[in-house]
Amino acid sequence: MAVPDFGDHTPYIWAAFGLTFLVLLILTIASVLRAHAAKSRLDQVREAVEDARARKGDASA
Amino acid sequence: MLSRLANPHRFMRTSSWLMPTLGIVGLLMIASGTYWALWQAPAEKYQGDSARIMFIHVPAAWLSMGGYIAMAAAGFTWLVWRHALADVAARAIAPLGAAFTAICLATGSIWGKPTWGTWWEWDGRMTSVLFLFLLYVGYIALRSAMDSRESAAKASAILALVGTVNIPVIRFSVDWWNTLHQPASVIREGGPSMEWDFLGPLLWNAVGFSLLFGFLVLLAMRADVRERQAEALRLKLVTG
Amino acid sequence: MSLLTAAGALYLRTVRETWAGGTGMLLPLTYIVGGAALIPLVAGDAIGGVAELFRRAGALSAAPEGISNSDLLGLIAPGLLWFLIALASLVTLERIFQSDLEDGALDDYRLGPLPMEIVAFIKVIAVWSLVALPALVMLPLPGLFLGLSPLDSLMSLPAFLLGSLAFFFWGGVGAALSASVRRSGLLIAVIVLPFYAPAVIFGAGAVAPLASGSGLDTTALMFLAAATLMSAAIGPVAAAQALKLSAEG
Repeated sequence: MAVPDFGDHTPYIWAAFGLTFLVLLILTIASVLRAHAAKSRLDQVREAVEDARARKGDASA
Repeated sequence: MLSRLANPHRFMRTSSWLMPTLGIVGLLMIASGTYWALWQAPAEKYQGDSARIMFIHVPAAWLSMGGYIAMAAAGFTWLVWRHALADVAARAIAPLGAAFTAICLATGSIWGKPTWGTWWEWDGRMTSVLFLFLLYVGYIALRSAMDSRESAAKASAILALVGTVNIPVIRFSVDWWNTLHQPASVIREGGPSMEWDFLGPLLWNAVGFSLLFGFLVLLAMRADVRERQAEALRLKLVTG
Repeated sequence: MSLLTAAGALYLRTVRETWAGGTGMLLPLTYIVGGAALIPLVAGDAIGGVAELFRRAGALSAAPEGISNSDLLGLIAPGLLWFLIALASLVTLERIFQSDLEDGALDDYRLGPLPMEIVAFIKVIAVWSLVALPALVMLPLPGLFLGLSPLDSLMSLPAFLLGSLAFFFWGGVGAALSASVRRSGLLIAVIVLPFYAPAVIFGAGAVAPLASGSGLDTTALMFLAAATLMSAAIGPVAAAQALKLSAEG
């Protein structure tokens, strides 16, 4: 499946499609990274809350 | 407001399967749509091959406007019903809508040079889309400048609503003014004037990009919800 | 106190505040006139040079070959005046609303007899009458610096009158929105820039035929009037919402 030749317009088409996919790729990667960071942060905090509760439980026991 | 997000269970549950579905289907549609656009669709009669850029440019344009409307609607929902998820949605949409507007402007410019000989004209359509981009930027700037989540939500909702006047201007600019940009050929009275050879890949790509947009919005919303939950929990931890 | 008296009192108080804050009329007038005077001093050759740059890049389709610098200045002059007035609106309005927030005046307005929308409307008009109106009255002077004949300046008055009002109404929205932000600086400009556009486009369109000796473009003037009316209707409402928001803190 050869890359089609668009004559004079080829660089423009490459530029347009390439730019778009690049932007979308960056957006997706950034979003996924952010989501991942949020999830692990939340898990971290939840763990800390659990620990604190457990410690309080021990203390009052 | 943080506490109201403490248990957005239904949203998180639904989006946990909806989001990846949108992402995967969207990606597949974009991939196949690109193949259709570049390898299968014919060159346009007058413009030649550069018209293939339309298959990205138009969906990006639709999403930039649709995104703004959704953002304004979310703001309105938040103002009236104070539904916390509405603000989460608005916040998530803003940078994505801005990105798609930028893609619309850039691809339009790249399309314009070989086809009409110019990178840019200050005609009604291009000027108003540029302003749409500025509106997005202003919205994001205002949000980050406000001190609290609450005031950021209110202020940006007001701004988004006031800026909605620009949308009909964009839509009808090609009718009201004599523009370099061509008149509406898809969403118009009497139905689309485009042939299927072009309408097909266009609509296919439009749906694909929209699904991807939805995927990214949900991803951002989920991240935001988790960030807020973590913040609320951390506060509780610190204040004991 | 009747509503009208309350409105009048608010107008006078705002005018007094703006006057005091800017050492009277001196500052706004100096800004507009001085700014206009500065431009030809630096721009004479600079504008020509920039225009040449654009011509070479092939991007500027408007400037015809063989145009002299002073002709170019004449073409750009009305635009520059719009720009100066727009800047003046942004800076002065921001100060007014910010000081209102800081000294608690906003809370007084919320409890007062006048609806917040009217308060916003009057404040904007008050600042406008002290900042823009004198500049408009003196328009022939900065116009002269920029190569406009006094007759041209006078004929463009309706356009500048309407346009400046639109600027100030939209500027009020931006200023109200950023009143609760410290050192908002460029924030207002970024927010309201899109809204200034119709007034600028139609205003510029209205005065454009003056350069070639014909009268104002009345169609553009009508559209400008419409844009201004819309700003007068939407602006104070949005500003009131934003002011209430910043008062709640």
